[in-house]
Amino acid sequence: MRSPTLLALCLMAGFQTAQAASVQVTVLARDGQPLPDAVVVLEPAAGQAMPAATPVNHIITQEKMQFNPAVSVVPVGSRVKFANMDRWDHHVRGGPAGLVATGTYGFEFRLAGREAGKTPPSSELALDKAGPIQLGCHLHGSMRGVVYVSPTPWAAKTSDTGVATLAEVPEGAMRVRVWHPDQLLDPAAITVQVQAVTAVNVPTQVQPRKARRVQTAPSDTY
Amino acid sequence: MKHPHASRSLPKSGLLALTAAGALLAAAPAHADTGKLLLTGGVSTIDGAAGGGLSPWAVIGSQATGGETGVSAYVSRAETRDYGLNAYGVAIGLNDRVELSVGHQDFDTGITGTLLGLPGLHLKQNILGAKVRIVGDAILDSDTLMPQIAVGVQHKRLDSSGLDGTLAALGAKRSGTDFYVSATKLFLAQGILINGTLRATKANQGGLLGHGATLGGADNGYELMPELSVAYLLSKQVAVGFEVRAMPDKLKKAGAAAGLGDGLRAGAWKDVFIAWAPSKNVSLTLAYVDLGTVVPATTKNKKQTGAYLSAQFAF
Amino acid sequence: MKHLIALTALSFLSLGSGLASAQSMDKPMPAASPASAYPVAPAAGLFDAFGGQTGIRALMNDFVGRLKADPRLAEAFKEANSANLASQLSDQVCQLSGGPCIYKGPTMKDAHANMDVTRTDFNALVEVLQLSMDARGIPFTRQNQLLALLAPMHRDVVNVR
Repeated sequence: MRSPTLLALCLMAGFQTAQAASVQVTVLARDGQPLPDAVVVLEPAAGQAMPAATPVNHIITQEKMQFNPAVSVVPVGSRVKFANMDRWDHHVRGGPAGLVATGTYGFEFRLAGREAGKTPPSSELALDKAGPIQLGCHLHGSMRGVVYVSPTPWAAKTSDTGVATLAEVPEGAMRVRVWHPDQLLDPAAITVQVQAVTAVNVPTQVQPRKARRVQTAPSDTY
Repeated sequence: MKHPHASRSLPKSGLLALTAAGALLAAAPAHADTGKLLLTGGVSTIDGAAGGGLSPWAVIGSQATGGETGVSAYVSRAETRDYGLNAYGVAIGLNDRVELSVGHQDFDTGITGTLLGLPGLHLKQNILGAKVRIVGDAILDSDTLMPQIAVGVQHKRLDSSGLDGTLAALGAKRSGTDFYVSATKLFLAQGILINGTLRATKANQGGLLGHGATLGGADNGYELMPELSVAYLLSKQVAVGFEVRAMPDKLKKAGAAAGLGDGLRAGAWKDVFIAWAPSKNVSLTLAYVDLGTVVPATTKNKKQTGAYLSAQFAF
Repeated sequence: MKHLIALTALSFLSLGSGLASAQSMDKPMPAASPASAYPVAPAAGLFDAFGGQTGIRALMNDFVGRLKADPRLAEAFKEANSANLASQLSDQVCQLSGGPCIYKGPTMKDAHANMDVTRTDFNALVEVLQLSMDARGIPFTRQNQLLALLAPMHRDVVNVR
């Protein structure tokens, strides 16, 4: 078993400009398999200037008893719209993990079931604070999701193959933070020297809960 | 040389003890590890397969359902006007798909043995059974007429006894194999279960008088015998019904050739029954049986009617 | 042999006439809907026999309570919202039994797609429903008539075989 602080650096010749590099992060689960839906955030190692991230407008649908996508990564200042694509009500609520654990919710709203041919009922949320926000549904206890609000412009979630690619990353020392919904502890950040093209493997102790059903892309017809 | 045959029939007190044990188990909390609904595994047939009392059904025995393995054991006794029959055995149900059973029968020939010069003769038979569910769900497919269908085999072997010579003379073999297909359906809204079985067999009286016959040009081939069970659910735990099981009549011709007239003719086996399952672990079946004539030559042509009691324990 | 044929004919005749009369007195065969992908015509008077909407709601409240308390199923229903589940089940049973409701919730397939459901789980749930119906004094025949509407759903609900 490798120690969590061990990392493998693989330098490859690239043709990027001196300032902006591309970092490919592969996150591994406890058993060494690729870990999808892990959030990867890059932050400057020590006190360097950080450009502001461009906020986005993001949509999370409630569809067939799932949040779609289940894991979202957006920069601070973004807005998230929750759209109910199901024919029955959902009661979305959520907040920072610590708050939710005490039974308090940062936000909650009821979305009526969608009617055929009409726009899905929706509600919007402004995300001004960084960190993971847990999503749930008061009516359907097994519905779970998360929105990770990133403090830096360099954040993404890993694909099915456990890989997240971050572009326009400044060269130099950066810290890589990995977060996963099923993690038990916050793993320590890893320092990486970003070069023109950098690939990093991050082993974690996360054993993800077995997902019963594969998510499809959010649909706009139902 | 005749060997005195020690009687090994189950004493009446033994059967009473078993029923008492069953009642005790019934009173105990019913937390079976396995998952079928009550009574939906059928009871144990006299041959050891799961079904009614006389006929194997398409259901797979024990209380185990999909993904599980279950065991059931039974002990049964029938007493007709001239005969007694003890039967016991074990069945295993695998994944609600395959059933394996082994059963033993001990038939007290009573007056017939005596008149044959073999007083106290007991005919003993061992039956190995296997059944496979092919398709369908007998209980839950209430939106279709499609039954659950299974195919099975029963290999029967009669122990050597003083009757060996007689059977050989009639051309009956002491072992044989039955093949059957069963279709079972519970009409849920009506609370009625129907089973139809078609059995290819040469067995005389279920194998107790061997298999086939050749004397006097008797038909020694396989015959297709129909069997029917109908059960009506009175409650979650109680069902009543009847069964009819056709029997080959191969020994009739052979008996005539041996000078017995139609003294070896056979008739269909029938019963009316009530089954009670106080818990998932125990079921009791009480029936009035009619085994038709069994060696009428020595039993004054009487129809062998009488009582049948069976206890089944499932785990 | 003749007796056997006569008995078979008699039993199938009585069964057939029972089935036929049951169907002729009821509403026509319902179409597949979110309430059930495998429609079964409800027996005559079933909705009323369960006490109409009030009776069905009371039954479902009791049922959901028992599900959460049953040692075999408590884990599966731990996160379920009792009020919402009872309300959805009531609409579903009301509609399927011939009542004036329209069930708008998820199909049985969608509702169970996120969890592992075995045949054992399904049978256990049927038993709990039977206990609930027993507690409310629903006659055995009526119980089976309701189960006949729900039983084919095992094809969509049981996803671990």
